[in-house]
Amino acid sequence: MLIRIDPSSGVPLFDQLAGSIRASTITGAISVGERLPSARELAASLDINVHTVLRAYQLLRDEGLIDLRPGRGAIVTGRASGDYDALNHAVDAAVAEARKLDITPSALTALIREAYQ
Amino acid sequence: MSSEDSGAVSRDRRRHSTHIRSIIVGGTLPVAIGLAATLLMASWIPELPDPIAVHWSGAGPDGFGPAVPYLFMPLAFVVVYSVFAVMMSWKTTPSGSLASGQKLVLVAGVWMSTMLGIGIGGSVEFQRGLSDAKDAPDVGITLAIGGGVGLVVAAVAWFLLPPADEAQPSGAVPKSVDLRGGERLSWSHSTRFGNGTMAILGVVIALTAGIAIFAAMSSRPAAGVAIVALAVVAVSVVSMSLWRVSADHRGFIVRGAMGWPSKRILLADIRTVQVLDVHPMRDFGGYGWRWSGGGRSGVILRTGPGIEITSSRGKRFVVTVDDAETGAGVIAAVLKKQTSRAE
Repeated sequence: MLIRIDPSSGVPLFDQLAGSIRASTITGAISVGERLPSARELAASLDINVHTVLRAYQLLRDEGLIDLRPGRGAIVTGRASGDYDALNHAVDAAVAEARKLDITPSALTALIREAYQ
Repeated sequence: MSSEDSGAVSRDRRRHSTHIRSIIVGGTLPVAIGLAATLLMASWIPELPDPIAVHWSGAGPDGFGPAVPYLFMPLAFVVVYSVFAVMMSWKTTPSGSLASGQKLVLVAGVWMSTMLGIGIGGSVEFQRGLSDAKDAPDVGITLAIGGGVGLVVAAVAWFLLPPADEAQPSGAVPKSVDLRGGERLSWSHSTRFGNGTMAILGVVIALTAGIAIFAAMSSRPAAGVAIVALAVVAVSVVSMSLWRVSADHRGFIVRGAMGWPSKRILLADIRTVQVLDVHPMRDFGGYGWRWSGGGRSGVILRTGPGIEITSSRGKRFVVTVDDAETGAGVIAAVLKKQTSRAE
């Protein structure tokens, strides 16, 4: 599982972290039943506050994506990744197109956010 | 024919010859020795007492049993071991030869068959013509002779195999993961033994548990020893079977499921990172936390892709893990960022 955060972007860190983990379950980089690193471990790895990681984990728990139990850590319970094939292809295509047009990742993200409105 | 084609042909030919020699040295030879010993012992059955002595305590025999299973024991051991040894040396090194660890596994079968053949054969020979197995003389000497002769035969067998290939397979430089501005990366992945290895470990634990229960029923002091042995096996299997590998700004970290054992290579101590294909027997002579020649060690759990970190002191550490390309790519990215910052 690859997590990428950018403290200099305007998006709150816990939101970025949750988004990164959510994306990993969608692409299949994390499979159902897999245990996520402990909050303390992940915080040290990203050099961020452990409460930020816990907040992201709680958000994912509220979405039903992970199961959070004291002592057992965070376990991925989300839907099987097979359902996301079409979405993954669409994302690949959108990114390829954006690269062709020299559109930055943040501009592409902004476009997607707009489209949701 | 291009020189590349002829290189591939000679490599295939060398691999074929290595396979044949592995079967002869690791399979045919030990099984033939075991079979000869068993047939010879079988021909003595009419002259043997019934039951025969099968275990010695140093002051004469203290275990007795029927002759037939005892006579077949060396052959059964050798056949099972030979299958294992030939399987373990089937994957040759890229040049079509064998690693020294594989040669050792093969000739160990020759040593074992000779040692058991002479050792057990001698213990039976001593009992020919006896009416009561209690008079059987001590067998330490036949086992010692068997072990010694076995070493000589194994040494000869070593030279029947192709010369050991010490060239260590080299990996590929990973594609660095995209990292821009103030971004931070964290990659982690769990890694475990393959299913086949887990099945074998399960059998080992079940056997140990069986022996422990059996021993616990027979005597009280044995129960203590058996429970300790069972605990040691269980703890070592659990601590060795599940690991978490991570790569980030700190460097490269591998931790066992219980937090121990672990290995941490700080970013400042990393010289290079590579992705490579690992064959546990060929490259490390086995599974688990392994050391091989040339300052190379690793957590080797299955055949397949792995990450190799070379430290600034030239030591190399390998971990077999899925998605090794991304993990190595993260190390490459943070290394690059560190160097550009230093400049």
